[in-house]
Amino acid sequence: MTELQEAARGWRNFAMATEIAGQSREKAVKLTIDGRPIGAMARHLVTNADLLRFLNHLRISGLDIRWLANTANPNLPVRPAGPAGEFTCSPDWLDHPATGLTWYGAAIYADGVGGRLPTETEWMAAAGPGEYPWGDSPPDAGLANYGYHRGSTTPIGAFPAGVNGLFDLAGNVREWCGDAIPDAANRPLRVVKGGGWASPPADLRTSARAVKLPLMGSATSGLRIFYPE
Amino acid sequence: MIHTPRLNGVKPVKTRISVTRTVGHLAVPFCLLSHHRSGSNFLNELIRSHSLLSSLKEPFAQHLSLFAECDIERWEAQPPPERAAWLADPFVQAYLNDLRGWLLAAPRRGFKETRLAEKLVWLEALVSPVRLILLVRDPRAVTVSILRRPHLIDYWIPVSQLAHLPPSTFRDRAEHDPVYRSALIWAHRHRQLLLEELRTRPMLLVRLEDLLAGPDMTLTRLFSFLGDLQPEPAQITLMKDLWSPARHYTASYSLRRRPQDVLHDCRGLPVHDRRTVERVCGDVMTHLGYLET
Repeated sequence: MTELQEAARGWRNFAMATEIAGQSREKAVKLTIDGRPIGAMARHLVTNADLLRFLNHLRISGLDIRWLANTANPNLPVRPAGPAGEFTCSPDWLDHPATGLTWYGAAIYADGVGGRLPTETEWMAAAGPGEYPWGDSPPDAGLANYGYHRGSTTPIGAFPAGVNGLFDLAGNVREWCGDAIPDAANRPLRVVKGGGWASPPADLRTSARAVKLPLMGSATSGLRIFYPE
Repeated sequence: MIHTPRLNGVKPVKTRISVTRTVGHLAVPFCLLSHHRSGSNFLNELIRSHSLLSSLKEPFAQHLSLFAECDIERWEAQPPPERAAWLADPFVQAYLNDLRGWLLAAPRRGFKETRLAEKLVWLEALVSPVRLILLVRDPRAVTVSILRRPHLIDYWIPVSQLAHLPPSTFRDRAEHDPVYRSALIWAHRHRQLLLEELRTRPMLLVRLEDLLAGPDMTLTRLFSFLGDLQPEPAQITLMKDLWSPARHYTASYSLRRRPQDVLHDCRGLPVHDRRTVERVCGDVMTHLGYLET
């Protein structure tokens, strides 16, 4: 874990120096709970272009990248496939949401850009009061990417924004949250919200909660940055 | 009742092997085991959609690269000595520890996997006994499906794995002929599973063709095996939706393909390739009802 902390520090310095930090903050949507300001949520998901910079920066630090991202799944768009083991991504996929990050990878990314992962409560505040982020009407293939309609992620912002002006809150990728939920054996599982491209319609409900093993970076999970007040 | 349209020549058939053995303890995790391109994503989605079941998607093959590198290498309770460094790797230890903890923390949890058939003894030593669901599909259709994605052929049926096949195999041919290689690996895997590995373990055999053409009976057997459960409306809807005229179909993604097309995939194999598969896999195909005796 010391290695991870050092990597997080290195990424934070790099992100600050290259102005990656705060990029999504400018367009973030301010949120309140019971009239009290709590911070701002990025309008868009973190993309593969962002992930590529993140992983290639950390790769040269010598850290074992598997703690941060799945390097075993050949279907992930960002893969260590370069001649020197660097991460690459087809240009067609750069504007798709980042996938394959473990919870630790997602949390370190968010910290480095000046934010953090949202809590489930903050995420739900961003989604708004309806049954779904767009309101109460049931999902269909024109409102979100879910239920294998597209067979993979879609570029960020390809579907209509929700009532609070945030894109892809429901569908496309499930979003890691900061909350830890202990299971029966008292192991911390991490909350993911919003459902993804492979999720059934019920998972798109704002109230639906799924939990994941923190080291399991999958093709259906990504992240969005929350900037606390 | 789930209505399926009239299917040309496709009907549920009886296999020639004993298909169901039960295990009493619901806390025993389940493992949906299948060869590549056999419909396991679809069956896993059906299982996951049940409110009382949780199932992970390929927690070994898609998260630990070694499983692709040693796909049909047989492991006992401990991996071979040359894999000792892998097992001592702190990331692998942490990952397997988390996974084991999750599987055992609550009843009716499990996973689907495509690369564990030769490692069941190791899996049981790692986790516990598991209740196995073996999903099989006609190897002619499996071969068509593998050939359809040329960029993944070497991921699904790596040449390096030929070293684990019996010495009588024509390895030179297998290296250059993906149809022959696909058939060899399918036959080796299923022969070993059906005739050796699964004879003494609780298991349920599901043919993809039966699931599509006779869903009522297959779903009833499946959910009963998974813990004395009944199919819920979500699974019935998923199956009905599969045959719905209003469904949005695509030819490119397996979970959105027309079921009739999935069932008839083997017709896309040229005659000489079909004969190759039937020659290599014939004994197992006969056991599974894919070939007449």
